[in-house]
Amino acid sequence: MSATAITAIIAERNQNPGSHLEEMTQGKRTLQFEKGERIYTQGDPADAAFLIQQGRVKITVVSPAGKEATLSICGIGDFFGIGCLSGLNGQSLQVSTATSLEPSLVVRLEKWAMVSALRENQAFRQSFIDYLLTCNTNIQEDLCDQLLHPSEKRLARVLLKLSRLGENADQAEVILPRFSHETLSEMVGTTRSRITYFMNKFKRMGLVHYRRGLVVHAGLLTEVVLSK
Amino acid sequence: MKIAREKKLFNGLLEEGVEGKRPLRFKPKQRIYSQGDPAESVFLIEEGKAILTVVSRSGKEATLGVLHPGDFLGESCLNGQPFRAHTATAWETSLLVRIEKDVLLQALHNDSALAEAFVGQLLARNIQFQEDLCAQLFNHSEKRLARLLLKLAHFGEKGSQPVKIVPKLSHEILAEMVGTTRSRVNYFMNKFKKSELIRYDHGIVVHPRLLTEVVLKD
Repeated sequence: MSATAITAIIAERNQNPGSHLEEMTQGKRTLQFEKGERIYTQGDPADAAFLIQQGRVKITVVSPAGKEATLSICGIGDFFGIGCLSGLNGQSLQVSTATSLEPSLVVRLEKWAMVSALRENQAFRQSFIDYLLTCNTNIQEDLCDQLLHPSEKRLARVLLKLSRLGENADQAEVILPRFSHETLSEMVGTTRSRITYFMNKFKRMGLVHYRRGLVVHAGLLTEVVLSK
Repeated sequence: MKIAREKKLFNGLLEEGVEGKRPLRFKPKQRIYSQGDPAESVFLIEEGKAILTVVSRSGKEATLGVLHPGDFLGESCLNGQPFRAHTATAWETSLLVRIEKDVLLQALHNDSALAEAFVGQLLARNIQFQEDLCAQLFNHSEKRLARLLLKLAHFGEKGSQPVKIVPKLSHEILAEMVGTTRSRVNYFMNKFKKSELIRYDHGIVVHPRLLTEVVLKD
C-alpha cells in the first residue's frame, strides 16, 4: 500500500469520532447538566455511552473502603461510560461516577445504537479505534506516572493535563477553573495537605499563580515533569 | 473462546497471502521490543505470555501489565506514536505474530469484522488499565502484590485450581513490579505462605483464595 493511502486512512481516522454520528437518528439524545450534577453514579445500570459537546465532566471512583479517586477529567469531544460497549467483559453496571463540572451538553448514546454504529458506520469505527488508542495511551501514561513518580511530579502532570483540555492546547499560560485541593488530591492520589504544600511551593517557584482562577505556566511545569 | 475467535480473524488476514507479517518464537525473558525503539509493528500473542515494563528517567522500573494469548501488544504505533513507550518481554516460551503497522492499518480499514474485534480488544484494555489505575490509587502494596500474582497466574480462565507461575520470580523483581521494596515483598510472601495462599514448588503456586482473602477484602 502506498504512503499516501496510509496517510489518507490516518487522516480519516483522526477526525473527531463524534462528527461521524450526526447521521445517527435513533438512540441518541442531547442532555443538559448543571454544575455539580450527577450524570450517572457508580452502581447504576450501564446501558449507554456519553459524548461531551460542551463543558467538562469528572469521572470518580469510590473504593469499598470509602476512599475516593478521580480517574479523569473529560472535555469536549471525549466519550465516557464506554465500558458498557465491551462485548467480552462488558460492564453491566457503572464502575465509576460521572459529574458535570460546569454547565454541560452531553449526548447520551444508547448501547445498542453505539454497537450498530460501530458495525455499520466505517468512518465512525475507524475514528473510534483511533480515539480508543489515544485513550489507552493516556491511561497507560497515568498508570506509569502513578507507579514511578513522587506526588509532587504527579501534581505537576495533572495540572499540565488539565491545562491542555479542549481548546487551550499549546498555550503557554492557561487559566483553569477552580479545582479544590481536595479534588486535586483525589486525582494525584495523595492527601489534601500535601497538595496545599506543593501548590504553595509551585506558587513560590512562579509555576502557577491565582488570578480569576488558577493560572498555569505550561512550559515551566513541563520542566518539573521532565526533571529527574 | 475469545482466543479462538480472534485467532480466526487473524488467520484470515494471514491466509490472504498479504506480506508484512510473520510468526516469531521468543525464549523466556527475551525482549520483544524495548522502550525507545522505533514503533513500526504490532504483535499478537498466539502462545505464551508477555510482560510490559517501563523505566523512568531516574531508573525506577515498574510493570504495566501481563498479556496473554489473543492479546495485541505495541498497538499504540497505529496511532502515530513513533517510539515504544514501554518494554515488552516474553515471560515464557512464546509464539507471537508480528504484523507491520501499515498492513494492520489497511486490514482494519478493509475488514470490518477484524476492526470490530479490535475495538473490543481496545475497550477491554481500557477497562483493564482503569482497574489497574484504581488499584494503584486505592490499594496498599499487599493487595497490589496479591493482584499481580493472580494476574501472572492468569486466573479467570482456569477456575478454582491453584496455578503455578513459571519461571520462578525473585522478590526483587516482584518488588519492582508492584512498586514497593524487596523487604515488603518478602514479608507479604511469607504471610501468604503461612496462610497457604501460595507455596513454592519450582515456581510460585498461587491459590485462587488469594483473590477472595486478600484482593477483595476490605
